[in-house]
Amino acid sequence: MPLVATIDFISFLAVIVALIFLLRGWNRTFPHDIKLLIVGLLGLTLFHHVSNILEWGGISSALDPFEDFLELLTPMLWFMLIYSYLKELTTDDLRKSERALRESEEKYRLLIENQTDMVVKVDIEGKFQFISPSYCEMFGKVNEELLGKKFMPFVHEDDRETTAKAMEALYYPPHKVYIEQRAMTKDGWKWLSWMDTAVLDENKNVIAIIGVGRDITERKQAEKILRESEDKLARSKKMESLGLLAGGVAHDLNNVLAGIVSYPELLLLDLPEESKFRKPIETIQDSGRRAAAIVEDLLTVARGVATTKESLNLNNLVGDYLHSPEFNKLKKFHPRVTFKTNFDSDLLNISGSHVHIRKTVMNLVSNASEAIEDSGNVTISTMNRYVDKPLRGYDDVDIGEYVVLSVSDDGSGISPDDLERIFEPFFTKKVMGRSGTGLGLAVAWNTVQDHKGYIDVTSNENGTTFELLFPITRGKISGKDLAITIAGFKGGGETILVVDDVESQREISCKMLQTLGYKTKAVASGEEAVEYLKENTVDLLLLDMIMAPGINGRETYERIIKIHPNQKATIVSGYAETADVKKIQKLGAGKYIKKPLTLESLGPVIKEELGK
Amino acid sequence: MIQQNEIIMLLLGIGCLIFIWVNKQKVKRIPVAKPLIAGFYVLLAGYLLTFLEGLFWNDLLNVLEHICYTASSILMAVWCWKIVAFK
Repeated sequence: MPLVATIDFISFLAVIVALIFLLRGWNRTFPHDIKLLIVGLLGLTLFHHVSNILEWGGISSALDPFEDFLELLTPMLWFMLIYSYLKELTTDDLRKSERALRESEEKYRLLIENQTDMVVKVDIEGKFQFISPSYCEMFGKVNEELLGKKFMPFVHEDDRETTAKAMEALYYPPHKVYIEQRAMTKDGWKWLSWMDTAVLDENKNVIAIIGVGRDITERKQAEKILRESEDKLARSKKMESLGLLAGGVAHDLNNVLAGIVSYPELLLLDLPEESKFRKPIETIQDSGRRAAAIVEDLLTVARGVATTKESLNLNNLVGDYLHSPEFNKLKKFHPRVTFKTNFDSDLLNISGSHVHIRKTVMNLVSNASEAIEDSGNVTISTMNRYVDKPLRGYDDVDIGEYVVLSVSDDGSGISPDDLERIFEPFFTKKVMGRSGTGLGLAVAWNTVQDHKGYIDVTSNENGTTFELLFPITRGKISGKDLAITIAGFKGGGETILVVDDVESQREISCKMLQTLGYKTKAVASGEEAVEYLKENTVDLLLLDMIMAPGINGRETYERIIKIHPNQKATIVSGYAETADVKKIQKLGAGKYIKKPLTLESLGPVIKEELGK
Repeated sequence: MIQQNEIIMLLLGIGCLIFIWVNKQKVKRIPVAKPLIAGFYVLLAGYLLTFLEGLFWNDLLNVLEHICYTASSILMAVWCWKIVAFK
């Protein structure tokens, strides 16, 4: 039958074409076993068609005996082909999954191993389940040492409570918490920040915690430095304000006080010993001196005080104070306090301001006495010390020899909060009105600062100790007799021009100078002084530094030395030894005297200047 | 007259069909699966016609049977061509 034969022939050609395609893509199409199955299938089909063609061609086929058997293989080969293909697909899927997993692991490994942040996973008991290499590096441990161990022992004792609370917070939404803690790393204590996230199961129960940590030590240090700088700046601004305030009032106040301090002195010189006015005048003088002392304190705190430093020995200074009326008064006020001393007999000298250090000692001893509520001991001791390491509260200290003045009490101590503020001006815990202006320790602090020294305070429930360190000097102590007598400074009738804008001050200065045996002439401004000296000559100028309106002391002196190049002068001011004072001294002026003037302060300086 | 091997072929073909149906989703993922599976279906139809030609209309069904085998071969050739082109 030609139709069936034609159909079989087409079929034969189709199989041939299929085989050709298969051979063309032999190396890039199917897996090997599938290719063999397809070839087998096509071969069987080809055999079937060839058999049919031969049969229709009238040729008795020799293939007939095999045909029935081989035809049975066809559906089996189809099954095997489909089955193999599916198996290959499954294997391919698995291979792809493995590759994807490998790639994912590689990415994860790269991420974990190459980041500086630390990554850990802990169970709910805080035991390590995973530790990143950066964590091991930070703590100087290997993975095996840490796995299964708790992380808490690495945390600083003071931060453990906060850390435990943070861990508890992870049990509540949003199941994330940020904490900063100190931890003992291989390089010592370091500040670490942790962003912790809870790992939840399908029932929203916490099963583990993942933490990502970072070393923030540098940031913390920078913050601390910044905070300290801010504190310093605030303190500095406070001191600056106080300085402005003190400086502003000091000049005028000292001029006002001059009348109260200086006139009684002049009056007392003229009064007979038995005069009934002597006692009240002495009281006025004493009050004036105490008022001047408060101004002095303000100036000390403002750090604008003009101080003349001299070699002195703290044993002598403290000894003087312990025999002073002020100390006797203090002892009477605190009868149950026992005062002990422990002086180093070989104590070295220091270069300092006798007045300010004495005041500092007085303030410390007074505070120590008041810290004892009932009965107790106040111990004042001195010693030499070589300082070669930083002191508490100071970033660095100058290495060297120091004299230590220690004042300790066995009172109830100072609270840590108060301890940070005790040196602030006007900070006081004393009952208002009972005693103190709140300047005592501020004066001590500034005095020590001005002497390039250090203060160390230790306080607990058993008492407080203030240690003041002053750098030593090898200079000898001046042998001069501090008990000054007016007779020793009497002048020989020399002429002194008093230049001061305040009338009362001019009067006081003139009277004092006259008492000391000098002739005086007074003018109210720098301009007047210049005009006067164009026509006249004087032996010495007593020149006020700050005069308003008009030119100040420096400018006045500059103009005067153009007229009289070798004009002697002594400078007077109620304020500070400013840059102007230093400048005028460079031009040739003599010593500086601080108001209010006394015969004791004025006499020696005038005498010395005239003797040059 | 129905021959024994024709019944076995048909049964084996149906078994293979069931396997394909059970794994239908996976089979779909075989590259250019449509001509291949269609080729099998047509082949299976040829087996069925082989079986039926022993019962009735043997000349007509015989022609259809051969057409099915030829169609199956052509679909196989198409699949081979497409898969080569696809790869």
